[in-house]
Amino acid sequence: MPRPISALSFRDSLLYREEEACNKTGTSTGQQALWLAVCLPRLALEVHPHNEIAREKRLEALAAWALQFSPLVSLHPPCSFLLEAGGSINYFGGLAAIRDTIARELTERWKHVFYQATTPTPTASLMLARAGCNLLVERGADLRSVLGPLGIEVLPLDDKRRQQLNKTGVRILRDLWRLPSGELARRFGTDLVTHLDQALGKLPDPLNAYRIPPRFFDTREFSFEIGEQQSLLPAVHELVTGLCDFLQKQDLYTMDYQVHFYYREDPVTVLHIGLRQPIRQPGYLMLLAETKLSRTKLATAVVRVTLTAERFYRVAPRTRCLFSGSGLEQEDQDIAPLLEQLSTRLGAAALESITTHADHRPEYACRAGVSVSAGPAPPDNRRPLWLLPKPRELLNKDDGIYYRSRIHFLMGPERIVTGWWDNHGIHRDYYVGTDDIAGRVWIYHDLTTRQKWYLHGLFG
Amino acid sequence: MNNSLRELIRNNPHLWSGDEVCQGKPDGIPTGHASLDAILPGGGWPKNAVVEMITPHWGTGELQLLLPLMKSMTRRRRWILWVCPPYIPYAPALVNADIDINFLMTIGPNISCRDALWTIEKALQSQRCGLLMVWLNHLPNGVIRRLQLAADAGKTPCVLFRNQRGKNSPAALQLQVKHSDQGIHARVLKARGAHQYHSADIPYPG
Repeated sequence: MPRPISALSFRDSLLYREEEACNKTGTSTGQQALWLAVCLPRLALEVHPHNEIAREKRLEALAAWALQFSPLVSLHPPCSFLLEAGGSINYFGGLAAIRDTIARELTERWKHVFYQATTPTPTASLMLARAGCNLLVERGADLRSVLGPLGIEVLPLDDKRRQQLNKTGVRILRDLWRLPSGELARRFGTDLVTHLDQALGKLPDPLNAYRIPPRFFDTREFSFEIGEQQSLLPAVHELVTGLCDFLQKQDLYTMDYQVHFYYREDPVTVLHIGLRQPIRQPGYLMLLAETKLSRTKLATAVVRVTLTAERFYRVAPRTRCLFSGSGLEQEDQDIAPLLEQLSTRLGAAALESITTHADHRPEYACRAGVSVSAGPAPPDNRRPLWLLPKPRELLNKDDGIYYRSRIHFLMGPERIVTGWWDNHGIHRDYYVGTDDIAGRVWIYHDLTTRQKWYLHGLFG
Repeated sequence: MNNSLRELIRNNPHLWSGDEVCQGKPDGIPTGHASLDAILPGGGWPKNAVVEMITPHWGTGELQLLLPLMKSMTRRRRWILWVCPPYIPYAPALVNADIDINFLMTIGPNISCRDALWTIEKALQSQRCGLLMVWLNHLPNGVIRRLQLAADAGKTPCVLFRNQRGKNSPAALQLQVKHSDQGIHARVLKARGAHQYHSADIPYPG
């Protein structure tokens, strides 16, 4: 019975697909799996020193490149990757051809220093490549003797365990082979024994297969130049429909995509279309593209339109009411497309929800924010519907306080003294008053320094 | 009505009989203020239409008149958009008025008039909002007519707050709101389907 090659994914469909791929390449029909490990010891220096992201990107690029040799490629950061070469032997005409091609391209095209080792198990291949051995081991039975001279540094151990092993006189793997595995597991943990067994092929060795991240790119070339924005819409519509088909097939959602307009001479115009949540409804995506396009000034007549999308999401953004059935919960969900359309044109900052905030200082008790949640209820009902962004100083004559006319006091004072802890302290007496012209007003007497009167709100 | 008159009305699309319009049932949205309902032709705010609220200054009582409508809209989980509000809508007071502030959204005020009008039209047409409240002062009648059509098509009421009365406004209702000793003084300047225009005093709530 053929041994499973690797556990590739949690999803049955993908596992099945990989098995199918292996069957095609003949891996599981008697063909022995051979794992080719490539270690690039100086990758960090060769790409960009101190730049982790550049190094990761390069390793991913190498993995994508390695997919031409095998359908199974697995990344092992920081500087190694694995590929299953056994299934590709017939195609390339021998293992030597694969090894030579990889060696030549890594040196000439990628310009990397590397070690490559090929053995029947992924773990053993990685160990050998990391230890700097360029080796080919075709028989699993030979692994024990080949791995024997490697130092214990190739094992994934913490410093404490390594010192423990050193103290017991274990320097190389051969010393470990001599120890009884039960005893080894008891003293140094089962992980070590598992790792050794995986290296020798006694235990299966699950790997994460590398996949090229999905990317959508499509283009429409015009046989004549199109100057009118309206005439571009059918092409954009086709591209957006293509994107939606792609998302549907891949079971993905997008949150941003770009539409590029190319001219004969002028530099390209790019529309960035960002969304508030991941979606894939064609009508919705098209509406936003149209809205954005109508706001954009194109330089001259367009000869080519392209659409690209690179960031995708797997989650379906759906919030459902737990207690459905009243039929009302749907309505507030439905406003999302409208808000999306508005923020595409006006900018996300133009849209604000209204929230309360537990603070006795009036100006802090109301916070505009994107998050929508109701704060605690405020203390009483003597609060105005309008708050002035900045309190307005009032005229203080001998006979009273004036806003648009003389203010008659109705209620008050309500003293608010708070906020001394964050240097925005207030010490005010608030009153409700009426102004014959302006209506009901909310004013305060500043008790801190200048003893002045301010208008802070209107009751609307 | 004599026959020649009836003939004239039937043949001329610009003429219609006033009592046909006025006989309509009270199909307005109750304002929540009995004295205000009494002076409005439909017994409340006109449905799916533009209402103009004319006040000398912002905040002289016009928002108080709309509180019951806002309350019932948010209770039905319908959204209310505030377009270009002149000041900050103060959340604690709105919560006190029993309005669910999770269904309020402000747009602007730092957007161009063009963008604001586009926003209003889109929001009205989308049929997704319960109410639109708009603070824009200088709107030509053509624009108001367009908004009126959008409100009608989108079945969404839209309240325009203005400081000056426009002449021959196409809005379904023009209401002048002032502060008075009794509270809020509302006077109907124009109402679709009304013969006579009345005024009412509404006491300040609370």
